[in-house]
Amino acid sequence: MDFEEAYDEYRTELFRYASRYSGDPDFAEDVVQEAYVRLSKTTGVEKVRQWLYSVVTNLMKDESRIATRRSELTVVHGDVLEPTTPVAPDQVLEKTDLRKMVREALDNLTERDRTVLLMREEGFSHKEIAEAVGTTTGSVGTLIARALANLAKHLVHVRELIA
Amino acid sequence: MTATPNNHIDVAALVGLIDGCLSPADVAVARTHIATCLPCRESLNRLSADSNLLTKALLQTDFPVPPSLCGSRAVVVENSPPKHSWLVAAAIITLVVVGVSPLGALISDTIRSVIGKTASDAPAIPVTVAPEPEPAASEAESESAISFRPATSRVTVNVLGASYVFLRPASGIGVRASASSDGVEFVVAGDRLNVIVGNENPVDLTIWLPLSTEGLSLLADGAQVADVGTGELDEMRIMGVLEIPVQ
Repeated sequence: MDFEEAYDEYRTELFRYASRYSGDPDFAEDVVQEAYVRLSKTTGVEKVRQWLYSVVTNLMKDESRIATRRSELTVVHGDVLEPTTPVAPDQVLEKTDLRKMVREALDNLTERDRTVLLMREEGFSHKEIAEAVGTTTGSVGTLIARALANLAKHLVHVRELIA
Repeated sequence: MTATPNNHIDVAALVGLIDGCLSPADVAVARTHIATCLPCRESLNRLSADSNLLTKALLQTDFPVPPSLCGSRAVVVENSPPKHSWLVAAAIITLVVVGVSPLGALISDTIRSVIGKTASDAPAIPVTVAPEPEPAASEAESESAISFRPATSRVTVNVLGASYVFLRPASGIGVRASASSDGVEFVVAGDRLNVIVGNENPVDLTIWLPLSTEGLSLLADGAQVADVGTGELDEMRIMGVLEIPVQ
């Protein structure tokens, strides 16, 4: 699969995955574009779709860690200054209550559980998910069940809204 | 497939059953057991319900795909706007140098080799999404866009679920349409939008449909060439755009 095919085929689903993962469509857009830039500079990628998802996931995790460190730094130094740019995506975008509730539920998951559930939503097999998160195929089902149960606890009101 | 000490099916296998990841033999064993085991049936139903809840919740809260990811391939590689001011400055300087200096050709070749692909290298794209005019953010969430390049001189879009089609309404409710050429004429008649392309081919057309749209059919020179049902419309709204070839 060449670059153009990969772009045509996966750009939309990658954005969907990234925006679901991060809750920030602007960040998701940047991450997807960065993933494609990296793909254009990389040769010999065999499983292009998995490769792209892996890059996108890692970029989002890195940014998440940076954001966490910034947050810790602010706490340690007791900063009371207003941030020049909003930190939480929820503060940037006007969202419905439903979107906020779903976001909070997803944020309650570990990065691995979120990756597992969202890759599953994109139709990846248990084997592919296992490769992505570094576990065995057999344990993916258990991870999914646990993550779903955890998520469901936080989606009680969402269930009522979308029933 | 493993069973719990009580001979119930373990949760991983139940997920595998939902996801279609079990072997045919394991599926048969699981289905036989579940048919007679209430706890396993309840576990399966709960997992399935939680799974469906997540899917529905995600679909209803997805963000629209940004215009930069809706464009043609060449647009993203060549025209993706840099978000940092120094990149903008660098790009402008590069363009100036490329335009006025013999060094330009060398720099251009270097850029090409780094990027790998350019607009001129890209193959012809039969169906593209016209990026202009961009809908406002609020409109983008409540509309779907179809984009196509017709090969015929006359295209009709039947908008199902609408008593009348309003073209470019001031209220924002209705069908908006645009063409890459000024010579294209849009005429509404009841629930139909007639597009008279004339001799303007090739031309790219984009039509934004309101949420009330239940389906649509496209006719080229009177013959039906595409039929979009509710499911595909839903997908359009999820994906933000559906590209329909009418060639």
